[in-house]
Amino acid sequence: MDYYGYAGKILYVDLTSGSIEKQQLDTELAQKFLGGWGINYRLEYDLLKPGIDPLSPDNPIIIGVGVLCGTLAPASSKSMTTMKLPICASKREKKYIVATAVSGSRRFGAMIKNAGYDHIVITGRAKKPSYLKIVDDDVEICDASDLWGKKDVYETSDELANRHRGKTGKAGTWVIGKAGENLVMASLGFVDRTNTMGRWGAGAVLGSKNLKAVVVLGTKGVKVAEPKRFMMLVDRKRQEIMSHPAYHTGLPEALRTSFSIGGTPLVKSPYPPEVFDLTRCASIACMSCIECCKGSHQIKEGRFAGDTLHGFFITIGEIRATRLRLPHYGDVMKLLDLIQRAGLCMFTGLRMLNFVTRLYERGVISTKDTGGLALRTGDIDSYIQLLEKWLNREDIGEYMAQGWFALSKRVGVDAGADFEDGVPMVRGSEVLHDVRWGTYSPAYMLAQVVRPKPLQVHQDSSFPAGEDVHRDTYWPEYKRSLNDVRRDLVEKTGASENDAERIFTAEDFNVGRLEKHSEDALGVYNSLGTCMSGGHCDWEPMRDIPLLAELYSAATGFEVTPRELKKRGERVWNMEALLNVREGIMGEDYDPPTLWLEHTEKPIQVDAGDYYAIDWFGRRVTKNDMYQWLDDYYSERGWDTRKRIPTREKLSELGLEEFIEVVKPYLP
Amino acid sequence: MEKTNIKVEPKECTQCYCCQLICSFVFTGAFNPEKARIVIDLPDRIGFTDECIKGCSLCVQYCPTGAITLRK
Repeated sequence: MDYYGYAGKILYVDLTSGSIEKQQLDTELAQKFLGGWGINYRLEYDLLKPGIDPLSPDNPIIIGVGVLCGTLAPASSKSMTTMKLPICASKREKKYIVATAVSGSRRFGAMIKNAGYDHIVITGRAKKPSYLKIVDDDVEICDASDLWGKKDVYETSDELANRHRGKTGKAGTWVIGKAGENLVMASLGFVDRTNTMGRWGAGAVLGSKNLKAVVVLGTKGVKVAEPKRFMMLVDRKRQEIMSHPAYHTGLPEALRTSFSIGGTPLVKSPYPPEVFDLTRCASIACMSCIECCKGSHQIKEGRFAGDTLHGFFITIGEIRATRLRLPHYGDVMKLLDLIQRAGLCMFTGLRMLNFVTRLYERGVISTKDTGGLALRTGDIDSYIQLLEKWLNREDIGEYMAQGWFALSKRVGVDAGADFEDGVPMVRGSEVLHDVRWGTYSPAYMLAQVVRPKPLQVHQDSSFPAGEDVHRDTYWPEYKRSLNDVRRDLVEKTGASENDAERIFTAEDFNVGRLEKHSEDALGVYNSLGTCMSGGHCDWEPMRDIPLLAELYSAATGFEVTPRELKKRGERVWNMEALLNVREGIMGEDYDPPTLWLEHTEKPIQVDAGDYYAIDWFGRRVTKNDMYQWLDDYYSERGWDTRKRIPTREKLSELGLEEFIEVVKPYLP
Repeated sequence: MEKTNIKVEPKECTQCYCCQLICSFVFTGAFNPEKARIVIDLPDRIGFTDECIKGCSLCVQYCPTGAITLRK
């Protein structure tokens, strides 16, 4: 049969036996779970045996691409991978979350579609270091002995993208570095050299399978059911984006400022802000994105002059690195470059280097623990040497490699409760932003706590806001009222007027309830493969469920309304919850972290004074507010507020009756 | 092939591949970068295949960055 929008096949590769199979995509399954993220979870339910070791051959890696990926729909390049992640999610017992990492791509996602696949399922363990090559129907497990332990993330990406290049461009790649090879828990994979996919240990899962990379090239094409209608929608949206006053203005200063309170405790950036613009040597977009949010930076002077930091949303790195007090911006770029090349998570990387260094300076650990290494805040050489120990699992690096819980136990200091140098942690890893970073909205903050895998970059549930509900205004043309936000919820995320009635009053809104509806929409974005920010984190032109319903209908030939599309997004979140219930993740596993609650009511010092967690209206947020919002969130989800899992009624409502057995033992 | 009507500036290219997507869509009926008639070989080169139609400037219309522009 002919497929439109979808490629029409799922590829199954078993690295142990070498078997390669292709199955037709079931169109009923496709419509029910949309694609990408959604179908990944449905496949995972059948393929993952609950309770298995995440680093065992039994843990499947499922790669998916969004339905709109590979088309000209703006900013629709997302690929994603679902697996059981190896970072232990609980201090009390060995249990692990099942989650999906999402990434934009320049070639990888589109090439998977063009090779004829919507999903790739990888199981087993290769006997020796290997990479998976997919060129249309030609699928092969190839020898990676020239790459494993020899080439870093960038070198491997370049080598494979060129080795299997096509007529008009490079192949798409997803590769791991030394961190993944050595099963370091903070490892991830890099897509097309630039985008990260798999924070929280996906790199180690690939490493455990002896899989260095997936490289793919396709020539089959992605057809859409109604080409004229599809292109009319694409052109209209492109025009809307390109005529917006913020188009191509770069990262606004106000946004840069809001990032600057991201570190905990806050340290004012010692680098002149213009230096990061002056060092920018290339702008990089994902496929079909007409903006771009990434770039490369070249160090202009100093010890590392001439070195380049590739593919980076620089302000994030700059701000994270301020805690390390590196004296020169070139030191920051050099350290970030080494972290990237190793395939290590930048967020965990910088935080853990800081934590261990501060422990040394506080006398908690000594050179006996570090293998003779004297650590000093602000010293690039000691950071680099500590990073090497981490990647090689030497001395204290062995415990860093095992993750925050193991490290905390080894040094006798709970990183998740250490106010001065620790980090708020949820399910074994640190949150992306401190709670006092709440300049977008507290809903954004809540997303870091309630999801099995907490908030990731470009996975937020915020709404752009204007000056009357927000302490920053990015563009004068973009002032918005509370009514505007309410209208956006109904008109842009597919919520109903009844939903809005529960969420909004004339002067306020309920953060917990808003989060639920925003997440449902995110389930759609991730399943269709669209980036809601479309290159603009605070404008978010692709946060547009009515448009996506039209695009999906025109692409696939399966008509869908915005309301129905949002419901499918909700179904995906419930499917994710079910997978985690099977792993025992529920109830107190979703408690807010200790430091999170402490930080809610303790200020950080900034130039302008003390900074507290605040809501959109600038009002101080209390711990009680947080607890209330959490209850409201689970109530709005229709889940059990004590166990924090889907109820029978909710599963029935979503057509997921067959999974009621999963939750039954835990519900009254 | 040499395109006399089009000027390319590889340094301006963000690798969004909108040019390849629209080119392949119009000429093959499917979004298929490998069937496009424009080659993206960064950091140094943006080129055109022998099948590229003389005088066509579809890619220019869909380039958001000015990497491919009409030659004046």
